[in-house]
Amino acid sequence: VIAAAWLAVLALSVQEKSLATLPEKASGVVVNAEATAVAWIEGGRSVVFKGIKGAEFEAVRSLTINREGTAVAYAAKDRGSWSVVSGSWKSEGYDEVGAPVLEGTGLAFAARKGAAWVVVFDGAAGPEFDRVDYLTVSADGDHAAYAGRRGKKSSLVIGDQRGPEFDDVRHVTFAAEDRLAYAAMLDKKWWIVEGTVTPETPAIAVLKDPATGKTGCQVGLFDVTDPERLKSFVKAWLEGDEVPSLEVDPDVPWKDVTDILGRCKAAGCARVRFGILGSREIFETFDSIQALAPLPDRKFAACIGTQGGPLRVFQGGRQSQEFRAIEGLVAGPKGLLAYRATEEEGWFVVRGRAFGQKVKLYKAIDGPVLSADGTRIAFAAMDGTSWRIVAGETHSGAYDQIWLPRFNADNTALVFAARKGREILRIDLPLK
Amino acid sequence: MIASLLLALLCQTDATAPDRAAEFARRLEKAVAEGELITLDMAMNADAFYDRVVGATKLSPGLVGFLKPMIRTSFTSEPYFAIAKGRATWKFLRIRKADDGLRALFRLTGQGGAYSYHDLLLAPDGDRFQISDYYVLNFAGFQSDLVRRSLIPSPQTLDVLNQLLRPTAGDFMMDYGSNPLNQFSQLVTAGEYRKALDKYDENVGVLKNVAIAQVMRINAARSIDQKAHANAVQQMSDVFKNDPAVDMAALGGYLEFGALEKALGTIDRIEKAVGSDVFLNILRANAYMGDKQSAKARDLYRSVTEAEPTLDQGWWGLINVHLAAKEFKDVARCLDAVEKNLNVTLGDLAQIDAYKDFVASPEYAAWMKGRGPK
Repeated sequence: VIAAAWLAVLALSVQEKSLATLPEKASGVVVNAEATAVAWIEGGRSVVFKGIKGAEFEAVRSLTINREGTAVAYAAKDRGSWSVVSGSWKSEGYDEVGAPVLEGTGLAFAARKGAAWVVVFDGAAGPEFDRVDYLTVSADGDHAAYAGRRGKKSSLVIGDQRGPEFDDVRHVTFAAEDRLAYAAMLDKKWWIVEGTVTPETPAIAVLKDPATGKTGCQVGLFDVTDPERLKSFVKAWLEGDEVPSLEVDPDVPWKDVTDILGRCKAAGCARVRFGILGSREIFETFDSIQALAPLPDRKFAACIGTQGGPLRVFQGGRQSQEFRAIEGLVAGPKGLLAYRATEEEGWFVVRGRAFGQKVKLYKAIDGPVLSADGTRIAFAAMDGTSWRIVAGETHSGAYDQIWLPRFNADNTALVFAARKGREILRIDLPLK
Repeated sequence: MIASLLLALLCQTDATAPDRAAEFARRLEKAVAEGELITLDMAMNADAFYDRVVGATKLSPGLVGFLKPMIRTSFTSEPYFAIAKGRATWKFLRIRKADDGLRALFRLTGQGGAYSYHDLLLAPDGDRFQISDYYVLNFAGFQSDLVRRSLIPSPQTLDVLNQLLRPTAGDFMMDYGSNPLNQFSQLVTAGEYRKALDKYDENVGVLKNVAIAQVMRINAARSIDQKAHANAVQQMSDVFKNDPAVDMAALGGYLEFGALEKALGTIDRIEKAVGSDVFLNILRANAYMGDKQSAKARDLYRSVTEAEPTLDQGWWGLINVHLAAKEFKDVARCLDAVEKNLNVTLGDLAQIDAYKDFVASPEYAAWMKGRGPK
């Protein structure tokens, strides 16, 4: 009985465990999402990971750690040029490198030589651009996606494949391993483009560009007007015993379709199917889009943006009440949304569209985060001097710094990392 | 001098166009036989077909957006060969000059003895040709006519649909479902032959001038009885005098009711319309088989296998004759030829009742031994 009572008490009590004690010259501290590993930059010249100090460089910055806490990556300056370092691997030297992105074993970073930017993913450099932005890596580490800009046009880039050209592309965001969304802008109107990295069907959409009158081809998210790009998709489908299907815009002259058939034939295709082109009309447009959150189980991604008025959260034709500022938008199952917002002063967390909802104000908020089933919400809140975790009725103790928490598998506790002085702690916080 | 040179040049162009068209048709036939249907798709001009379907009918942009994809997609290889159901054989027969241009006659045969003759309408495209439509001899009409009758709404409905910004399938189905030809066709397809004939009679004024309706009516009547069939054939003949479509439609009934002379007469008339075609010997052989004249049937099937060994119906007909006559050595020889010429691998014949005696014969054992393990 005593043992059982003790276990019950233990289950209801906060457990703190020290992960590391930071030295005086520590900066850029990172803790993985599981709150099991810590790394930091020491003296601005080397990285300490799992208590082991790495090589010294002229300068080190942009330290990042993967979700599992098994690897770190950072930018390091050596003999005047910048590289990205991860474990024993070091990239070639560049004039400049961006912050590395590390998911699982997938490592990507933007790098510049002269005027040309490239994205290096898993050690291989991609095509050259004038600029690269919004670099992201899928949770399984298999795909790196970003917005590549040449001249006045931008497009989504994944590996060797590119999306159609727009005036601007932003907020490239993976939803699940293979699905992503991004914001595209043409003629000052923004909208959300969504799709899968691996096209769901072997369908080639044959479209007429209303601006240029030219015929173009798309496969899922990608522009395959270039015959070689089309060929690479067709060949892959044929290897998988799939028959390509052409879905033709009624405005496209059949002569152009015949040309595309010729390209398919040149790729080894003996027969095609013809399907009816699904509606490619843009669902809704925006004057601005500030952030995206693709939904795990719904078609339309949510976004923070404006539609000829104040800032709101939009999703699938519905919109939240207006706020002065909105940040930290996250999406859960069944269309659940959460974000932090402010009106006059102080920040609060909003769940859903929040019309008429009374909320508590904090000086600053980080998060929110949702449980996997979307039933629980938690965030880090600052009262002016210290940070604590808030999850419904549950409040953690006060800390100098907090990393965003995650819910355990059965939603009975939150796990997070926090700093108290020089001590980095892992905290298990039981939920009421 | 210049005029005579120009004339000579024109004559030369005219003289070579059918040759070039024949070469084009042979290339298409070869590509399709090799499974390269994309070559046929590249030759089919779906825009020209769409223009022929729509003609002078005024369609709003919304209607164009709805109808054009369907009409253009219907003029591609997949729906073209779908009517053959299963393994199709597509044979180029001849080129002829018609008022509307050159036409390439093809014979399409498929599963269950299905056959049709298509005159592909060829339009010059540089030094090549494009197919802009095809005339279906079995239905005495262009495919574009058939699609127009089936898809283009009635003038009254068109007035309403042209007002809609974005018509939906539901808007169309109202009109599609009230079209007498579609109603009649659906009843025939559903096997409701008596109801179908009643529907035809209700709308005889509209349907009697539509060849495909008359063809479907003959097929439906055949399922009722011989008298109904004869009556339907006569009524189609009254409207479509001497058209091969009447004979093609009537033949099935004649074979079914054992009217040998009538069957042979219709086949001769079909031959006059399409020209010499060895496939017609299969129809003749089928007629003789129905009349239990298997020796004549065997000779005719054999003539087909010799002239066109890739035509499967010849081999299966011949095998059938040999099985009935218990000529098992010939059965084995034909089965080998089937595998060689039709590029098929035979399954387990022991599972097929028609081969029961053959499977029990020493010829089968010897044949199987010669085949070795598969």
